[in-house]
Amino acid sequence: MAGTEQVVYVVDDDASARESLCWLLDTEGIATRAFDSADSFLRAWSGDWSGCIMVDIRMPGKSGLQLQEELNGLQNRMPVIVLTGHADVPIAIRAMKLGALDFLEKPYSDHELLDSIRAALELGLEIDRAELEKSRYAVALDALTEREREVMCLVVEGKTNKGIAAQLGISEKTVEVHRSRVMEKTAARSLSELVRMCLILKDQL
Amino acid sequence: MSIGVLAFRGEQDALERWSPTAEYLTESVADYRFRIVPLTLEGMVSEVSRDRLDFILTNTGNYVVLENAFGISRLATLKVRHLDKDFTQFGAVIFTRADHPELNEIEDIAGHSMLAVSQNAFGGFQMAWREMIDAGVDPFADLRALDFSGFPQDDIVHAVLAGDYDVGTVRSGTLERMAADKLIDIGKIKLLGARQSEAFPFLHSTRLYPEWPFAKARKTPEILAQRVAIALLQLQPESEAARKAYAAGWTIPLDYGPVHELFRQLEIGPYEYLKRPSLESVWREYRPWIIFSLVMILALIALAAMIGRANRRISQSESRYRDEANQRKQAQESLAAHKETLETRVRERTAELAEVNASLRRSEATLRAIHDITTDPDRSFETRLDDLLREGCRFFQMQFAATVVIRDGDVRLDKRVNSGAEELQAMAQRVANEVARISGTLTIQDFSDADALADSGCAGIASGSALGATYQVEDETSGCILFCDLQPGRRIFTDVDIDILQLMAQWLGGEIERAEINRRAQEHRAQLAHVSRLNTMGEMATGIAHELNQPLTAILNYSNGCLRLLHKQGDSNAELRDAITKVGADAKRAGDIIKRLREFIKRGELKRESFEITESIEAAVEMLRRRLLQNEISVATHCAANLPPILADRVQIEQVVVNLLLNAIDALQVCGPDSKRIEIEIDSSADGHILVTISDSGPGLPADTVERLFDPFFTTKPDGMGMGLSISRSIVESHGGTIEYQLDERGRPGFRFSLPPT
Repeated sequence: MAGTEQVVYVVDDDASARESLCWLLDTEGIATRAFDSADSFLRAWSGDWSGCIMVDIRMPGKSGLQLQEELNGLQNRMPVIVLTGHADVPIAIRAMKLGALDFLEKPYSDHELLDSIRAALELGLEIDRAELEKSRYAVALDALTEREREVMCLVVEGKTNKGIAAQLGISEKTVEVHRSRVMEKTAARSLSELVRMCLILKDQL
Repeated sequence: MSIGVLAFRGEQDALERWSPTAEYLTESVADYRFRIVPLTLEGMVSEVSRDRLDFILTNTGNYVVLENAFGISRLATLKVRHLDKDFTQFGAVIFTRADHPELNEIEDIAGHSMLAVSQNAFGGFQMAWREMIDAGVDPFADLRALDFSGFPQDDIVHAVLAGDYDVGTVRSGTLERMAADKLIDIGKIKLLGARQSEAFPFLHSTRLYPEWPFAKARKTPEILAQRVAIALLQLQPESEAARKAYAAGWTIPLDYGPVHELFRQLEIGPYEYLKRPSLESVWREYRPWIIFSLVMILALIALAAMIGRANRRISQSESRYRDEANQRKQAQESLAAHKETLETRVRERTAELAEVNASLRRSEATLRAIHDITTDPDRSFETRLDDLLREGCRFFQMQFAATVVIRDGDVRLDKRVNSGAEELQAMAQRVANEVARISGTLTIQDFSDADALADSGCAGIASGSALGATYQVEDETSGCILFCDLQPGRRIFTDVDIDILQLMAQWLGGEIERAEINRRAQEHRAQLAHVSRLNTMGEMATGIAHELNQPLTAILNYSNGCLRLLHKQGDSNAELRDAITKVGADAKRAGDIIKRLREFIKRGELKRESFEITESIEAAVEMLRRRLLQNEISVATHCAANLPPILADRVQIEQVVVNLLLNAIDALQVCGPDSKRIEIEIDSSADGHILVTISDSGPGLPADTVERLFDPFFTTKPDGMGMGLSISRSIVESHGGTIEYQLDERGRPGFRFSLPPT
């Protein structure tokens, strides 16, 4: 979750490629954790992890592509960078279709590698932030009463207090009270922030 | 070898009559066993249509039907021995009681009753039918009654003598046989439309047609057919095979053209279509109009018919009288001429007979020579062809022989024997052009007499003689064999010569076709081997690239990491920094070399085409047939119905199947001889992918090897390269499919690959 340290998870069966990559990232001050197979990575995997995953395509047992498929089933949030010993167009296309962020051919240059990793980490951070925001909004929304929630939805749709009162069959005054309670409970600083919040959570409303 | 025999008197009779002939052929034609299969008319047609027979022995009429419909071809004609005389032809008699007051000619039969053996009987009815039609009597329309009695024909003779029917028809010879057996008094019988033939002393009212032929099915090899034909021609009249068959042996196949004419005229057999316009459909569509028109026309017809009949009778009898008068006059004249030249004729006849005898002996010797030449395994094709052409030159008494290649309108002399003067070559080329144009057989006894050829490709040849016949390769005329000479033919060319010429041409066509098929199979194998080599190199390069790229990646990672560390420490040691930079650059260069190598050897683009997966599987099994047999492995293929075609590279897919079969063959080495089985299942998955599973009855793979099976260089075989499965996976994946090792529900090991549909 937010605040947890970002880690690059390296999954590669070849020890020298794996260890050297970790060492290089270490010199750049990037935290790494290494796995020698897809299965050992999956056993350790947790939904709380933040960062990105670098996975080699060709490995004994589960291949990198199969690992991607399983991670998609687990609703993994971390971006995936795929490594391969040789560029093979059909495989690259399949990896991209499975949602890989980037595709690097060994041996890669260090700039290429670090650019790709930085982009992945940044994206991971963004995803984390959005997730955090979403959960914060969800907590706020839980605190609203049924009537306050109705009023909020109509406000977001752009209805006037008078219109809302007529639609719900209550006085304009009561609408105003509900409205101020909504702003208070959600800690929204403006109407536009309230609209944004509703958009993010629209599938929970 | 099965010989289908028409059993018109029942199975038992056919077996007794023909089994000795089958035994004779088994003795005479080495390496083959012959047996008799008795069949009804319907059974004969159905067996021939399913290609179940190798040879066919049937009546003349049925033969022509089968020749037309299924391409059977005659090898010899039966020489029947009847009342101590030998015949290769027969006819039919149309007869009545000697004391019948109204019947004297065939045309008198109209309005009377008639009995025959069967509507389908060639000698027993159809011959008479033709003569009746010629005489203006339609047996199915103009008779008071037409009945069919079935065999034996003797009943018909008795019925007519007893007065139950006015007219009867039976096969020629029947009356004489019954008279000889004292069953009838031949004096009490009157023939209608009696004819005379020098060579045929039996009573007959119809034209004569050739006897039963012995024929070969279309698929039966020519060489075997030749051996059978030679054996039949050599059958002695005293032998058991001949006696049981009531025959004096067999002769060169006769011309069955007259039988075709009969069928065409009667619109039956192969020509039945001639009388089959779709009357029903016309009737359905225009019924009211037709009825209306018929009523209107009927009155007119009645009137016209009365007048017409009267006219016709008058003109018929007029022309008959005229013809008779003419014929009588001609007969008298020719009788006179005959008397004058009788002695000369006798001398000529004797000489002709001697010539015929000599020619038969020659042709028999030549047939034997052709047989010896074409079946000698020690002679190469070229030598055999040479010897064959020389034998032909000797037999036809011609100077020059050649084979000719005909392709896309181009006619080129190929192999020559006795190539002589330029004039001869030029003549041969012209004759070849003409034979190619007619795409058939050409015989020119003497060019100076052959006016009809003046407009053809032979125009300009002043004198000489030629024989030529085309041959087919895969149903297309692709060459011919020809003999020519600047002199007119030294002897008269006969039907036997044409048969022998065609035999030579057929043999040559067959040999060329076989060589072509061999060449194509060879080419296919070479193509697969080439693709296989390319694939192996490509896969090795990929494997090496993968293996080397791992350490190169590590080197680059370490060198880059070092440079970053040095940079952080202020780049104080420039010498060290430069050296490490060079380490990285060299590692990168090594990576580039590998990349270029891979691109260089990279497999070509896939040549995708749409085809049935079963074709690849059959081709692969066929290719490994010898190895499967050597190892006593049985292969069973199960294929689901209605599979869609796939869009793939045919040769590559075939290589996958070959690789998997080779692995299965190796895996089965450890099994006992009776338990070596490979099963191939072809099915489709729910999403339309084609699934091919190749499993074997072997022990399967150790569990610890399964993970690495598809890795390049990984192998469990002592002399294996570890490329087969790796290549197979690359091919399947490049087609968008998958491949995996699995145990099926019965625990048998195997590989399954999938391919997306078109």
